[in-house]
Amino acid sequence: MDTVKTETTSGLEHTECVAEAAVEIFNATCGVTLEPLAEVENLAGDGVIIAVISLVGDVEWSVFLGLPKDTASAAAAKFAGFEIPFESADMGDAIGELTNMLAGQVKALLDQRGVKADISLPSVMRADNMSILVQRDSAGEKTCFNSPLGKLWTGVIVGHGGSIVA
Amino acid sequence: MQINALVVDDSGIMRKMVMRTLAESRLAQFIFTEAEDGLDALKKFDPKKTEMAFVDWNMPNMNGIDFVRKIRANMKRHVPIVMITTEGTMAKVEEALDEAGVDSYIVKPFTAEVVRKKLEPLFAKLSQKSKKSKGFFSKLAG
Repeated sequence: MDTVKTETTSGLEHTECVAEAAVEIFNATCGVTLEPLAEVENLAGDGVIIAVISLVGDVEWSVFLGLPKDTASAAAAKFAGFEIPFESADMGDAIGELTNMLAGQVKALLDQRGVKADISLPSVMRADNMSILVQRDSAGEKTCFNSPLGKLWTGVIVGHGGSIVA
Repeated sequence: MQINALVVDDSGIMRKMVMRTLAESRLAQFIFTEAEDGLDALKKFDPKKTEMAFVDWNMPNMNGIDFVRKIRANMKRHVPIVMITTEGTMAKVEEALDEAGVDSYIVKPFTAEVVRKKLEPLFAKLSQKSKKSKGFFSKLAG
């Protein structure tokens, strides 16, 4: 799959698996096709939900999924089969589970390439105007997608031997 | 066939989705008990009533595999356990099936059709067992 990488730094072997996994998981869970956008947009407006999950082993990654309020509501409804209020705990559950599946698929894709990693439990945050800050020496990649559910983004931050990635 | 099933997942939404999918599969009439992690599941697992368990893998406090190991170590009666997990890599699946004593597994995301196909053999066995035990008891009664 061709992905558009507009916010990319070096040292990112295999990170294309994240965008590839996102396309597969959203197709399987929500029945939609994600189209990568040419430019990474700031999608953090009035209400955004971001879920982060770690993959640790041969890689040391933080994989994240970010959805603005409207996209999150549409995705959660498609995924669960019923409406879920954005402000509810169930919304965190639904997006956390989507991210869990995303990480599981990333793990499976890495496994096919001989790269082994275990996944953590997801952490989910909901806020207004949230942005992810990355350590200066950490590599990262973010891909923006358009979809029938709305815009969303996925990404990965690559740590270096025990460094803290925030 | 009526089945008392324990559904174990730290996500409330996933528990709802698993229960809805199982109900839609029409494999049995399910009576569900929910648990939010392995520890909670150990408390809610009823040695006399629980007939089947659907268990997530990655959970806080006690993960699904450790829950299965505890049940297998402490119960003589074989209760079928199905892992429902994002862990689709072969090494993990083999670990679950061979080492811990899991009867079947379903990889997320899943559909009712996938669940039905995957679980049909398991329910066929359960149905046979149920018929045999009913036959045994009616012979005793007769």
